[in-house]
Amino acid sequence: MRLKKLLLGLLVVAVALVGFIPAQAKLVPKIDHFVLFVDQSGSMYMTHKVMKDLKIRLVKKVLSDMNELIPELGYHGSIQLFAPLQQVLGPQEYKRSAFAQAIGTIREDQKIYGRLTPMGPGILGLDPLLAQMTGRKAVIIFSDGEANKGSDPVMESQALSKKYPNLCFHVVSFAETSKGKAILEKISKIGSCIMVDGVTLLNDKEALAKFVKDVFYEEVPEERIVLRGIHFDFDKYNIKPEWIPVLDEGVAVLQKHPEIKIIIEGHTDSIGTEAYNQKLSERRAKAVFDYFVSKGISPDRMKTVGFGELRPKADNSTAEGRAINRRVEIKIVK
Amino acid sequence: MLERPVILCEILLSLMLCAVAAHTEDSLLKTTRFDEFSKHWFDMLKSKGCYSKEHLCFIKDPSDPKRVIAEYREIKRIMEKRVKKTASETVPYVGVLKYYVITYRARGDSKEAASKGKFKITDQSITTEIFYYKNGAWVY
Repeated sequence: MRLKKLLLGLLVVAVALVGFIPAQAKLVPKIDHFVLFVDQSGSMYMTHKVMKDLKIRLVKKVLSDMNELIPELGYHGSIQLFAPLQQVLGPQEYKRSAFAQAIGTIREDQKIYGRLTPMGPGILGLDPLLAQMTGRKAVIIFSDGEANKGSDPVMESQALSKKYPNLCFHVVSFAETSKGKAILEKISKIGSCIMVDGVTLLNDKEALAKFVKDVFYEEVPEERIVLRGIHFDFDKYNIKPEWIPVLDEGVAVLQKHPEIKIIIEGHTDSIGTEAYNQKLSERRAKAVFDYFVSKGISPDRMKTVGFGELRPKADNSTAEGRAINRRVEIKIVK
Repeated sequence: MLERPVILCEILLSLMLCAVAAHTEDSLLKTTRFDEFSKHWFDMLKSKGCYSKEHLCFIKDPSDPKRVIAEYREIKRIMEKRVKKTASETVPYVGVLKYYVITYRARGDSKEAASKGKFKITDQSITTEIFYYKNGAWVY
């Protein structure tokens, strides 16, 4: 228990160090399809010993909390139950509102006894659904792992993983026995996928955010190119010959990566009025834009914006600070 | 039978060319003192730029013009430092510095309130700065 607390603490610290989702990092999906796969067997309608609530209600809470964090990045998802198999929401492009509504329909009032857990057949039952999916797939299993009927769920998972090499079984565990935990762990270890404790996700927002990020998306840092020494004379915006080599480096990036688009940003120091600097920075960005067009870069790939003195990177009270602020930036927008 | 020596030759030639390229690049860094300049540039960013909590920059909150955003950056990793020869006689080199930078921001009703606020990571970016070399000095 102490070890669990220590590990939890370390996880929280690690996630805290990583920080919150950066506002301007680009989010790129890690998967193309996902299935939220919920165990609705009898044992899931029993009370969780620690949380003192029905396990199925705890699962629904985790699902709701996760749903709030999953970014809408174009992947397709569905919600399926097993033990017995039941479709709650068919495969469709993930939209938060639709999933929130569907999660709400999962029943909280089923019998406990007489309802065994054919987990293996349940996993096997995913095959027709998986066959329709192209690309990277994730099945996120919400279960206590108490498989007690039918084929071995680990073997069925292994068979599907072999059939679909881009498939990952992630697990949100509500296991309360060593047997249940062992089964779920073995499933998640196929393909080195993730297993997390469901109670942790309920109690630790950062752990939940990390799980969602680990399964669904990655952050790709924004890329910027800063062109230095592009100092237009007062009220001038013509390109000087000495700037050509620097500008040509910008051209080279665009030629090498024909898929990228850019925003050319003009920035000034604070000398002059805000309105004047705003106009000046717009014209300077346009001058660079025109140069790039003259070198064969399609205007459709570029936009210009002037920020005037409003986005300083340094204190304008010193000459060096003002030099840092005078710049043209190219923001790469993929 | 002839293939093996030919392959060995190709490998050796590639290694030699790589060594020559590396040596040339090192020479350019030394000739133009770009190493010194990049140290000066980073020192300048840290002392005059908004690159620590002690040197904050302030911008208007775009979502609420009455509020202020305090921000600072941290350079986490220098990824590239190189000098490239150009075709120009007056500007014979360009220098490239590439680094990973994290931006932290806090909001408040005033500069003072924002500077005392809770800073969070809001941006991670790879920044490439391109300088030109003229008359024996790097221009920025």
